[in-house]
Amino acid sequence: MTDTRPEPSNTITARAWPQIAAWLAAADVDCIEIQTGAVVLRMVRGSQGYQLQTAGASASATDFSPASPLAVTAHVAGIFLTRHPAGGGKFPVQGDRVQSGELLALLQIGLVLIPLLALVNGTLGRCLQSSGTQVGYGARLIELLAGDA
Amino acid sequence: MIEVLSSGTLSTVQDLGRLSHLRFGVGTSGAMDQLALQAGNLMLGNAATAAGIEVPVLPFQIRFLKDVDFAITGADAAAKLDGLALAPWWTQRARAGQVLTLGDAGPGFRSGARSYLLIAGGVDVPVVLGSRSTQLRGQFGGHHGRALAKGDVLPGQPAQALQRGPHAGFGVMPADLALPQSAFFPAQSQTAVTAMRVVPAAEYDNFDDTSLKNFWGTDWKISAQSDRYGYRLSGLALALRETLETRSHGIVPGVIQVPHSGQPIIQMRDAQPSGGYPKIGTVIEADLWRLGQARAGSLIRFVPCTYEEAVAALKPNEAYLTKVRHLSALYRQLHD
Amino acid sequence: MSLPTTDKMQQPRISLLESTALLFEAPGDMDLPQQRRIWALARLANSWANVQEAVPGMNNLMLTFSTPPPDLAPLRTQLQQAWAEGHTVSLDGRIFELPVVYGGAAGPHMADVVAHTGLRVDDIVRIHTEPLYTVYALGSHPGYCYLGGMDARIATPRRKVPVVHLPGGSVSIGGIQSGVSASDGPSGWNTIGQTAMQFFDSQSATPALLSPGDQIRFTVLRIDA
Repeated sequence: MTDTRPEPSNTITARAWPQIAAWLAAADVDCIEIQTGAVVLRMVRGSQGYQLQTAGASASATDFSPASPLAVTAHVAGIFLTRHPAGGGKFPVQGDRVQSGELLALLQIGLVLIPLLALVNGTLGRCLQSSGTQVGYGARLIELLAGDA
Repeated sequence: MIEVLSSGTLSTVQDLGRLSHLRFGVGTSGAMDQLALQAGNLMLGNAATAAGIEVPVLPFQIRFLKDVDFAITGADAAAKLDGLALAPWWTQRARAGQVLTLGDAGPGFRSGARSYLLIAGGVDVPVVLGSRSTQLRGQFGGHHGRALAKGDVLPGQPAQALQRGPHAGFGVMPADLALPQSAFFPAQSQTAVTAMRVVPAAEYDNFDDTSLKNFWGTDWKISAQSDRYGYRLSGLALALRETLETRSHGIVPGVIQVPHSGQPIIQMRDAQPSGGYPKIGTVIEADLWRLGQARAGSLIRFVPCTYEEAVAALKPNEAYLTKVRHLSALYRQLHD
Repeated sequence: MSLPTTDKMQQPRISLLESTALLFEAPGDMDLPQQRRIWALARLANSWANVQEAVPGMNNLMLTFSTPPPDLAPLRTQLQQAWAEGHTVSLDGRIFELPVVYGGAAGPHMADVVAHTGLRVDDIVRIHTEPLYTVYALGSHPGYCYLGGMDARIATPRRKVPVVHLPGGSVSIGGIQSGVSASDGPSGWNTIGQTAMQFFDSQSATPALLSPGDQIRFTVLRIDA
């Protein structure tokens, strides 16, 4: 797995949007950004209900040359968290060696906490956003220097 | 589906309980923290009423025998799936052969008394008298009517085709962070004080004035002799104006009985469905989940509550579960 | 009779078990005619909206709610009215004979009943086995029957400290009531004997052997010292 974003084949059909709007309303969530196909879409709550907007083209393929750090990016908009709200064990910090699939941070949307995982084995670099910040789709969050050495 | 690897567990299979057989002497049983059980189920797309495993003592270890999505809620347990650390109130996919360990959380984790392990499709033990909950006194229901033992294999639903693609799991906000307490009482000597709303019961007025003052105005300690049958509290003795010999009558979890000792006992999920001791009040259903997570040694303060307030108090709990259900469904739709 | 009871109420008392259930207590002395009215009330209440289950006790009735009614007044009125109409259920249950080993190891608290009543063991056994007991209600644990009809001369208060473990089939006295436990477990009553009987089958649609309205006669298998 080399990308934190969902599989591009997972497109959302037009029929699903009313259902998604219903879930969002029931969960009292104002805004959500998701990638479907090659496009990023946003649903925003307004006075008349939810509006569907495009939020821009998907990010281009990441450069995987080992010398340049990858960034863990936000695949949905949400609140970036570097600690679980319940406290407990800390997530890895700058300088820590991490494995592919390891939990690095969280994105919170309403009551749901979405994992941000390491793309590959490597060493964690800088955290690029403060914990508690609302971030949009594609925001660069944490640097990751790929490599097993 | 699940093989129990730990010995000496007090873990039992529970759902929301048996609600329609009290007239046969069958108490409700069911999860001590019903919010945690339901939330875990809803994260998995189960019916809220599906059966899961209540884990009151850590460490607890199981092996998954088939691929299945699971969730862990309730008291924070340092959960690890084959060494991969999981966050609290989290759902993850397990592959056949993987071992799940719930460990003692240690400092830094919030304390609670019971963790819950839920699996997609629910723990599929037979339904007995309308429920899959374990009836310990009658030795039926759940897994052979007893606590789980090493080597036990618990059934699940026939393997549903797991969704394509990697499933990284997700979490939800724990109930005690999403739902504020009805009242705040500062900790006493680093011991948490949990507010419990109580509606006075029939014999409330038979207690003397000092006792009533003490009932509402002092902290009650949950003694070590507290379990699924009842929480024995220690504090100032409560006294009746005169001796009563009440007639046996139906009771429900939350009823606070006061036997001769004057030390109250809160009847919990495995309590007898009937009793004859004087009752001073009943903890409201909306707060029972907090009681289920209150540890021995911690403190309780009772807060007066009316019937109408007790009914209204159920709404925030329901709203929380509704949000968990909808957001979980949305997340699965987008990511499976 | 030396034991004070709850106030001799003239009217039924309705109280709450917070928003989960309501308790209806019949006034006056505890007796069989009142209990037959409770059974009738239970039958009626089972069909009412908001009622999950009607659970008879000893001259009382607990109604658990499926959903708590926002306003309790209509239900209170409905209950009081139904009670005032005096519906009753006739007695046509079965009679069960239970052979009992009294005293000795089978009756660890016989001595306490002797001490409280001042009666000899033989007399206590004779008084206990004389009546035909009616099953008033089930409760306490699966299949356990609350019995009415015990002679008040052998009434003995519930124990100050309950016993942690008694075997199923324990025949006990608690206050003015007598009962037989249906499974192993703790008890706050005074155990005077032991009987062998299957009271509960969880696999059956009607899991309890005995129902309200059935009757029990205790017989003496033997009296141990």
